[in-house]
Amino acid sequence: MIKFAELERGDIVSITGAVANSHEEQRAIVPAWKRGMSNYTSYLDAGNDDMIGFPHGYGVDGNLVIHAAWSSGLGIFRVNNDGSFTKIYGNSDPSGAYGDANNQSVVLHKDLQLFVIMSYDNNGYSIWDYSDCFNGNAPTLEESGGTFIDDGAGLTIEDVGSSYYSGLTIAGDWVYAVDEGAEHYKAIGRRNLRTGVSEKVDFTTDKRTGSATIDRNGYRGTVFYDSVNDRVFYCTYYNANMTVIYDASTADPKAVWCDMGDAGLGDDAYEQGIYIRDPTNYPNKLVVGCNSRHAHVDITNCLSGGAVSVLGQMYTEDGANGSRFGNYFRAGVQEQDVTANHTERNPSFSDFCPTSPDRGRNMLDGWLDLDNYKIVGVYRHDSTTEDTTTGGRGRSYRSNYGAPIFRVRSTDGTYWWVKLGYDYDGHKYWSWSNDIGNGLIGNWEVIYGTYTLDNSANVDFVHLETLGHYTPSGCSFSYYVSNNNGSTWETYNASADGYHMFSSSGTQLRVKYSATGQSDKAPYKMSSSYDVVSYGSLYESVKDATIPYKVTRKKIRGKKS
Amino acid sequence: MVDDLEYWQKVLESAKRSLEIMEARGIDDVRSRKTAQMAIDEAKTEIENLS
Repeated sequence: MIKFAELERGDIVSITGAVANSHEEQRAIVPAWKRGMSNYTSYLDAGNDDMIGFPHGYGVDGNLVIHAAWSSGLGIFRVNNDGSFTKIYGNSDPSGAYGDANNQSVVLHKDLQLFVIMSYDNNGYSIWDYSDCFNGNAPTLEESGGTFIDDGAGLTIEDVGSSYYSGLTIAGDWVYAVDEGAEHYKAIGRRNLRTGVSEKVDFTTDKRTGSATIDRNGYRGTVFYDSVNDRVFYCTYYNANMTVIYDASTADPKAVWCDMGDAGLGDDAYEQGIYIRDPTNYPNKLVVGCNSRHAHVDITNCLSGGAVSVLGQMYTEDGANGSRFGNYFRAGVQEQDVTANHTERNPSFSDFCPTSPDRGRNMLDGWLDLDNYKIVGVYRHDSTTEDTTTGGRGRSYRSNYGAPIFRVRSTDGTYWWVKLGYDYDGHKYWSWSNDIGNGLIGNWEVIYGTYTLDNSANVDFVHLETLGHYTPSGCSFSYYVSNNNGSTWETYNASADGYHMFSSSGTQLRVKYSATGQSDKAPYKMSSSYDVVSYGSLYESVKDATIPYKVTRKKIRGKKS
Repeated sequence: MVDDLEYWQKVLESAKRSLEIMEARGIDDVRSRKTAQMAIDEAKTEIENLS
């Protein structure tokens, strides 16, 4: 007698350290974050906390956080020494010049204590002095208008980025801004906040020695700054990807063309993000958003006119692997520096590349497995079963859009981790202590059951078919089975014929997954199907070695016809 | 944290506002609209269950 059963989410007896889901065509088990909606330190409903942009939807200076808001303009708050928040400023109409909605980009010039805030579909910009915000007072509007950058030779920028990625970044005194339109082909605009000068960086003439000549007319996109190596990454949504601008904070920036299309990564950068694992020792190895995937690449050869080396690819829409994220997938961090107080990186592990939600996908945040090259995360917050007790975490933080949780240092030197987003828990600012931080619980366990045979027959053997199980380096994934409802467990050890034979006697089957991991990575299941268990009874004659189990051959005598 | 009535009312209010803004500004991104609509439907169900 043999029966088959899917290890369904509804069969979960217990779950610790993980989140299991079953949404549309995703059947995943992912490690849970330490943080949750019960072990937070503080929260604040400021009324304008709908941060939607990535990666520059917000900026941090000291204990001050300034963010753009999609439906309500602008928000500024302070993180206090006890992890609580103080609202400094909220304005549903930041400039009066361009309406109050759809702001998704903000950058801070920390020396001048100025910030620039812009939208993606409302023309206009505003520049504010935020120095008095440290004293708890409102910022001062310094300048606003329709055109943020005008180089006097045809390049103008009135809005930036797109829905909902940001199109501003800052390198020293220079704010780089990207928009759509032919004037941005093979070029980017920038404006010096100290001098007020606007100029065009022309990738064909301002080319770094050795680089290939850019041969594609890319436009629209998102920009990232690598403060460790003074580089701006310009990733174009349409028609090419990517240009790296070296010496970005200087008067003489130089562009390097890194043709992702020629490297087989698609022509467009629908996905967004930059992550440099080791910006000091390996600055040219990075994760970059490409077409329907994030790619781990090495751009060293591009410095001498060569091609991008592809180290690995992580597809955003990979049905067989349960990756159901579509495009506009966010991965990476705003600040690459591993030593900065403000960080979205894991302070202890350089491997950790966070991913963030967009359009209601990856709602619980996730991460990239750079060992197996998979995107790890659940599609939506609903249709999930998760650990709500470990570390007093409660359920996971959820939002439709957001940025990675980030670290802020309060004035007494204490680190706090802050989460901003849009929709659901994004309605408030939330903080967690540094010991909780941005890491995973690491170890996790899920038990399924109880499965029985007809007439309470003994379960003598079991076969486990796992689908989409992955184990990153330094982690382990083990399977246990029980035929006495979990009283005793045996390590699942299938023989050559694929079956594990129980050494005990019992009628109630349970299956246990046990994973060991750490705060930056842990084993996971990403699949479109449940795992399947088959189990059954053996005839007594097979189980009992003392019973002769032999077919005696007997020659039939007779006459051949 | 409990997902109480107030929580879901805020989810509903926010998602409705998102759709209103999309309507007003002619944003026709299908997935954005679907995301907002899913939040509205979910919030309505939760509010009904909690009321």
